[in-house]
Amino acid sequence: MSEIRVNPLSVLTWNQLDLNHAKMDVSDGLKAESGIRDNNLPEGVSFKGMLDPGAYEEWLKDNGIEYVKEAVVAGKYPMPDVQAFPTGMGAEVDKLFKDRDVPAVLYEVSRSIERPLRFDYFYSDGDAILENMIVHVRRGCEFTLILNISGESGSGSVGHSLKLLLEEDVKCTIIRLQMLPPGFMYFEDAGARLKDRARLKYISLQLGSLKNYLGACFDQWGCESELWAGLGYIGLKDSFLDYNYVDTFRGKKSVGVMRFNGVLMDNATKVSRETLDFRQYCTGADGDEEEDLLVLGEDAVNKANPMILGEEEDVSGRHAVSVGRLSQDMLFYMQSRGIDEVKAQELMVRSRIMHLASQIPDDELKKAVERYLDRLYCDRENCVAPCC
Amino acid sequence: MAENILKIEGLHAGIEGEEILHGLDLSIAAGETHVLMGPNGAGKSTLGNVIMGSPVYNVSAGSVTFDGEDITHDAVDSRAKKGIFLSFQNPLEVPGLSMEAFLRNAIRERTGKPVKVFAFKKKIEETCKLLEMDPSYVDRDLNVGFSGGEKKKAEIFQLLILEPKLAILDETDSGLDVDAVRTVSKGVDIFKQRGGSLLIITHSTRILDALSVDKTHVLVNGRIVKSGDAGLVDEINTDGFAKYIEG
Amino acid sequence: MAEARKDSPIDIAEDRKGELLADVERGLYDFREEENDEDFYKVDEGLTEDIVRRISEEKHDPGWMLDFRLKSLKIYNELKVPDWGPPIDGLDMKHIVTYVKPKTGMKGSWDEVPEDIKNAFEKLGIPQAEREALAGVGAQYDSELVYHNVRKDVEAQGVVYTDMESALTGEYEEMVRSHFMKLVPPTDHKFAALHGAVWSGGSFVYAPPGAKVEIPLQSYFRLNAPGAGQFEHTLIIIDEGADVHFIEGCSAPKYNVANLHAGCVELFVGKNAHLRYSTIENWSKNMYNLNTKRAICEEGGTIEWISGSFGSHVSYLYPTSVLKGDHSHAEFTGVTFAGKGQNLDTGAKMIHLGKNTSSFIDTKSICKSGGISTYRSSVEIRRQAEGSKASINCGSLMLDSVSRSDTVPAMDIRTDKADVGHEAKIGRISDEAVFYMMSRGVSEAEARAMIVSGFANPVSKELPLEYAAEMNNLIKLEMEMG
Repeated sequence: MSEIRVNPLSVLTWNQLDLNHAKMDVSDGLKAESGIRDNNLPEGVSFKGMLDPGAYEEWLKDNGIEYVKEAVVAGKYPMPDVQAFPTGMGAEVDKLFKDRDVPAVLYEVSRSIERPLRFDYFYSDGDAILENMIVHVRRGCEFTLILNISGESGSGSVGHSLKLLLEEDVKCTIIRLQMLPPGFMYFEDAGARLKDRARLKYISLQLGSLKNYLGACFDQWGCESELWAGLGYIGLKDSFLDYNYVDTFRGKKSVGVMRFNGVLMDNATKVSRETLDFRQYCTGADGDEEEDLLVLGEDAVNKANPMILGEEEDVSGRHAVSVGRLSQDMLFYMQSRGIDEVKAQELMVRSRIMHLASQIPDDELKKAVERYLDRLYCDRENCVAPCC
Repeated sequence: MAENILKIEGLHAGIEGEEILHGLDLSIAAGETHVLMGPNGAGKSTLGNVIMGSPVYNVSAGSVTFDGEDITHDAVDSRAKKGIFLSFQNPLEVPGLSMEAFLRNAIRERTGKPVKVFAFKKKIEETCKLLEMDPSYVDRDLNVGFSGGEKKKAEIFQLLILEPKLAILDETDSGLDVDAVRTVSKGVDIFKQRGGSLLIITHSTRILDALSVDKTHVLVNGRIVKSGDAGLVDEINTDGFAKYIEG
Repeated sequence: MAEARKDSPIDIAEDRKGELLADVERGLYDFREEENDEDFYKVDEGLTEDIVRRISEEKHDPGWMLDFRLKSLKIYNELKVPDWGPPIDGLDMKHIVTYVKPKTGMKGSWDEVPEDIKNAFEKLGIPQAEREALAGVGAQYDSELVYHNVRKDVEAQGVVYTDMESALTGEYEEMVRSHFMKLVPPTDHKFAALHGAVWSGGSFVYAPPGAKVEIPLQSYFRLNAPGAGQFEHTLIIIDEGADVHFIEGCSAPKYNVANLHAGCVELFVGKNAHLRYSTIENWSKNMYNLNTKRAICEEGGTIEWISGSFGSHVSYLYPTSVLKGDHSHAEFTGVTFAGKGQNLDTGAKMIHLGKNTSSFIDTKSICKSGGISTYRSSVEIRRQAEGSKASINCGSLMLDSVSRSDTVPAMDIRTDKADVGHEAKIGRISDEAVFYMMSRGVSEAEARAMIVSGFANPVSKELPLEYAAEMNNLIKLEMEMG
């Protein structure tokens, strides 16, 4: 197996558009990382063990949605990627973890944690690593987890899978910050299940790596559950980014917001799939999704498929895309204050990323993002100032 | 008589083949305050945008001279760097970019030098005090979620921080509450006292009450049909534009 | 196991959709076997060369057309049915020959028309003569008369408006030959290939440079020709600066014995020319409507599609605009209403090739009583299409929660010098609006019908009055049906 299909589109469309799924190369010996981080866990967060592939599958079945019935609810379409616990990247990533014998690390949060829990991952040249994590947040707990992924120069492959089980009345924030060097392939998968009144804020910031696959599926099973998801990215040079975000509404009065703020420069490519999926009986659900893409590269490629699937009448769903250069109005405004076009573009790029980064509850990381952007602009402008 | 800060001669300008300004002349001496009035559609906002160099409009004839330099074909940002400021009726929103960072960048671009952090902070604080604005304003994302009044106040705030030579205020007092009008008037007054020149484009006159106006111009159908002193404002308030339109 | 809730959506859904289980599982199986399913749908004993030759002979095709048909047949047998979109399992591809046998179909009488269509006619108030015409008997005279009236008017301007068969053998043979299925080649998809092999009937329009046809050309009246209707080909060539409005003849329900429609429409819009192509489609509810429509615009040319889809059991319909010339422009305005037993997959494709081209899509989908309506589109802006603009706006209105409405818009943008905006919304009729109207004395049913008509207004306001009225009647009718 050298290539797997990831990020399947929720509803298939014309094959020649090449949007129905992405192909991800997994031939370079990706293998498990020990992954346990049971040191310095704050009180209330406990390490519940390593699940081998068999036990992991059991866990997913026990806590996920029932397999066969799911296929029925999905209605008229063949479901290419039925998963016990749906994720954005799909069944073949589950299978990859199984084939490579990657154990899942199970954490349980049984008490509210005030300070964010932060896991730093630092990768080196030649790494080919898979990480698999389950976080189970018990009823009523508040919890913030930051996954900070960076590395030294070189090339490698890194894949992270995260499953979230959020019980009733949970308030959870997940931050995934990726600032890998430009030689890396990176993928991150997520599947989250929200029970009644669970609230999830999920922020992913993708600033580095050459090839980037992102998937997230939010299963708003519970009534009055709330999701706010934001993805920010910068595509540079030859980089490739492919993502699939799905918000599935099942519970009554569930609310979901998804925001995608990206920048494509040079000849970067981005392929996106965004789905609001209103299942029957999710009465009163409200989904709102917006993609705002700034294209600054003449050879940039942008493909998108934003979908709304509706099985329930009593819902409200909205989707909006705006793609283009810096608008003439915005440029005029900036220039009228003395900022030239190049600088105006830089400000717009920074603002997009910082808009999301400002929500990271960790000042050190916020600064790290700013420094990353400074460096990026220094590199681009061949700056020799001491700032870098 | 003082040097002209702005001199417009025989200006023809318009939008996609439709001429809006038909040979307009206007001179503003340094330190003077001029008011431009006129009915809707006369070309008032067009004039402001053309002076700033908006790419939406094209100039087919005539010239704009600023501070002794012909800027008719200058880029927008170079005009700004020379000292022209245009207040926007609908300033644009930039999530993720604070007003403070925006202004810091704008000053750095204008001066070509890094901004001295403490001096800049101090200036911001002082300006907030002068305008009786909450200092948290500047930490908010640029114009994002600002009410109409807040946006206008933020534009005046930028005016005082950027310290241009000429400010063009376009309908700055339309649709404002009393509090916002006071802030705007105050800011405009401070700018004037510092020696700034003003072109105020308006059809209402609330911010003019407290301001000494040097000249008033009436713009009808793309031409200035009448110029006079401050008294002209009162005349138009009483009689309207009718006699200029018929004439 | 997932905890069982009393009102678990899944349990209830299972009851309701039990009958779908088999379909879904089969679909799942098909997908998994994709690598090997090359032969899965292959027609072994379907359409034969013999049959195609017979069609060609009866139609007195020129030799090149027979070759074309045979080539298409070969392609047809090689291509697979689409693996996306609504299921067409109900279409018996193995016996496709029964659909395409010459002279099938149009000999039916009013008595053979299914009850629901008859009722529809009654409610629509279609005159008796027209009803008979639509059932395929007797009204030839009426049709011919109207047709000739139209012809007289357009002929004065040098506009050619004739049936495809005449065009093919008359003085326009060369023009037909150099355009026929050049825009929609038989290799495009299986049903385009089928069309190429067995097409029959349809219209040919040629508007010379500068011609301006004030009244819309309507194809409706000539669909009663023997053998026409199911695989008709429409070829319209609008020369430089000319302006034409063509209305496709589905303004009233049609009844066909066989239930497959695989027509093809090819529109060539010349430099600075303007073509508006309107369709109100209301096929009978057992129809598989697998239609292909495509337009190509030269420099400064404009194509406008106005499209209302009400009928058929399954539809695949995505009029495509190829914006080849600089400054060319395309608009698509469509409404789709999927009622009981209908799965309508409709939308548009826009392909920007020229500089400063613009496209605009505005669609409304409505579904009711278990109907499935899918809006599907693609907007492609190629690298060289600098300065292009595209806007996509789609709204879905769900009238109950046993129906389904999906929005599947794809975009592929290869230049930074383009502006693309997309907005999609899904929702229901607001209770407040109904209450407000009822408070002014309107019945609830009427209020809802009025709101739905309002929702579809972007389409109806673009149609000639009589068609708009008919469309509103259709909406009312759909609203009344259980």
